This record gives sequence, structure tokens and C-alpha cells, in this order.
Amino acid sequence: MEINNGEQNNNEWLSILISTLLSVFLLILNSVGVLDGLKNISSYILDPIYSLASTVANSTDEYFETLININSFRDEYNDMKIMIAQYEVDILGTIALKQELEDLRTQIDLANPQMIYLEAKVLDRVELDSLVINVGAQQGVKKGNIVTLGNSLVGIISDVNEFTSKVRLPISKSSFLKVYIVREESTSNILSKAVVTGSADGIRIENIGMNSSVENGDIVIANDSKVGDTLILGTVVALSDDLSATTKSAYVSPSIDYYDLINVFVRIDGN
Amino acid sequence: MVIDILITIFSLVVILFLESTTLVLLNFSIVIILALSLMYKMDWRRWLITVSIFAVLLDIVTHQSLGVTLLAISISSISLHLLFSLIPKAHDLLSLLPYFASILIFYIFITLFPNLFSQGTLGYLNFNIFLTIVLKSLISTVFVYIFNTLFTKFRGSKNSLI
Repeated sequence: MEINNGEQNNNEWLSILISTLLSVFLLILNSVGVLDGLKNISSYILDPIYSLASTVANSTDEYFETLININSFRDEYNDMKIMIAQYEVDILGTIALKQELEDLRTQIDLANPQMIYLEAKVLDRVELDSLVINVGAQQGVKKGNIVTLGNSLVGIISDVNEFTSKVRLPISKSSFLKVYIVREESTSNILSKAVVTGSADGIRIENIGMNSSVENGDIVIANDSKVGDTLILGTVVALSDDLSATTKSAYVSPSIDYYDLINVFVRIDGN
Repeated sequence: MVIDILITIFSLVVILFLESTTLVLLNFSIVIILALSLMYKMDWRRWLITVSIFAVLLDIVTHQSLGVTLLAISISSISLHLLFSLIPKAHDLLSLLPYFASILIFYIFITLFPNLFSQGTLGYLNFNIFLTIVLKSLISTVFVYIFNTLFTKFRGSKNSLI
């Protein structure tokens, strides 16, 4: 038994001795570059295994890192959400400013320079036929003042509070305006006079002369004592072709979308 | 014989894959665990051939000087063998001390010496790295203990079947 143990012990020493000598021998050969060929051939076969193992290891590492840092990721995510919200607010502010700038430019370019205009923001829409704006009696707004955007008619002030006012849009059933119709190519030549009233279907234009050459697409201009100026209302659409009628009727497609308005201008020296 | 060779090659590939993965992931070597655990359990010739081939292959894929890993394993084995001449192998927990010390030596060698053979300067070793090495050695020792226990149980059950 002892002989066996001794023999085994000797064998173990022998294996260690051989491995040590072999490693030193390999190191010497490697340093002189004899084993480069063997390295190249072996690496050609073994590198894909190592690459695959590295990929697996890196993926696992990333997974665990994500798992470990999940709290910080969550905090970062929440911070980013707040940042995004702030950016969105900034962007919306910028868009509003840009819109305001464009509206002001339009107003400066197209409005009557002899009139005084008060800039106002649309606060709300009352049903479909009125707007609420953020200027009122304090700013000098009076009932009957005209609300415009550039050379387009938005409506007429129908009610004034201290700091807000209500604008009656032409689509309102209680709105009644005298208008005339011109063609885009020759705006000085009136094609017909007519009246505009609001209805559930839209802005209705009636009393168009039967013999007039009014066509769809012609421009409708408000020419009423309430307006006191010539302001564009929109264009003629859906012109009736009832031959038995004594007058023609149509609808007006507004030149501005009343429901997308952000800024408007109240003509406070209009009447 | 052919089956033995095929099994050896397949085992080498699998262990190489695992070793590469653990090296990249945790800088942790399973080769030293297997080499030291199997030292007294395998035929010395087979142990020598397997360990030598695997160490050389590992040096190739990790772009180290050929023979570095084998030298580290050899030095580690020498220390294990020397320590086992002082501490009895039969003692369950005490016998883990030589393993721990040998694995520690292996890691210190692997940290310091590959650079010496390739660039002529020793590798970098500070207190934090040393602590990491101690921790890795402790974990490796636990794995050696588990491996030895499983091996003993497996052999015991095999013998009882026979």
C-alpha cells in the first residue's frame, strides 16, 4: 500500500515536472517565433469558439448589468420623461410664438393701417358659433367690435366682460351680413351682392343675382355697416343651379378655419 | 479509443467555450478548478496531456505567450503538492486550504507574468486587484470542494453498484 502511495506520489511529481519543463520549453519556442504557424492554424479553428463565448459573455454581462442598474435606469427614464415633457412644452411654446409671429405679420401686411387692432388669444369655443378671447372691457373692447385676422373677418364681438369677450362667428345663426362677390382675377368688378347668414350646415349665402356670373370659388367679401370695412369672408361653394328659383344660393367656405385659431385681432376703433 | 479521442476533443471544446465565457464575464478561470481537482483523481499521463493541450489552446485564443497558462498551472500544482505534504488530504475542510493557496498563486501568476513574457514588464497588481483575486480564489475553492464531494459520491455509488 505504501509502495503504491509512494509510486503515485512520484508520478504526480513527475507530471508536474514534465508540465513545468514543457511550459518553459513552449515559452522559449514562442519567444523565438517557432510556434507562430501552430498558433495561426489553431486560432483559425479556435477563434470562432472564443468569439461566440465572448458574445455570450458580453450579452450575459449586459443583461446582468441592466438588471443591477434597473433602479438607476428607472430614475433615468423618469428624468427623461420629465425632460421630454419640458421639451414638448418648449416646442409648443415655440410653435405658439411662431404662429403669433405669422399672425402679426399677416395683420401688419393686410390689415387696415388706419385702424387700431388689439391682439387677443382664443381661450375657448362656445358650441360651434362663438369664440371667447382674452381681451375685454379693460382693454377697451366694446360690443360690436370687429375681430379679424389679416384681411379676413373672424366675427363680431357679441358680449364683453371685464377681461374676456365673446366673438360671434359668421357661422352663427344670429349672424347676418351683407356681402358682395368678386372674382379673384378682377376684384374691382362686383359679380353680385348677397347676404350671408349662419346655419347648421355652414355659412349660407343667399340672394345672389340669377343673371350674375357667380361661380364656385369666387371670393365673398363682407360689406356691411356692422363691419365698416371690406374683409374677406371666404369663397363660394356648392352654388345652387335651380333654374326655377329667382335667386341663386350657395355656401361660403371660410378663408380661415375658426376652430384652429390661436391669435386674433380686435379692431377697437372700427365703429 | 476513437470514442475516447472524440469525447476528449468535444470536452476540450466545451471547456474552452466555458472558460472563455467565464474569463470574459468575470475574469474567472474554471481550468484551474478542474486541473487541481482532477490532479489526484486521474491517471497522471492523461492529466498531463489534457492540461497541457488545454492550456496551450487557451493561450492561443487569449493571445498570450504559449506556455504561460501551463506554467501557472504547474506552479500552482507544485504548491498544492507541497502543501499537501504538510496538511493531510483526508481532512475535509482543512484540505481546502492548500487548494485555496494554490489557486491564489495561480491567479497572482496569471495577473503578473503574462506581460513579463510578452512585453518584458510585470502586470499590474494593487490591493483592490489582490482582493478580487482572493475572492475569486475563495469561490474557486468552494467549487473545488463541490466538485470533490460530487466526485467522491459518484465514485462511491459506482463502487456500490459494482
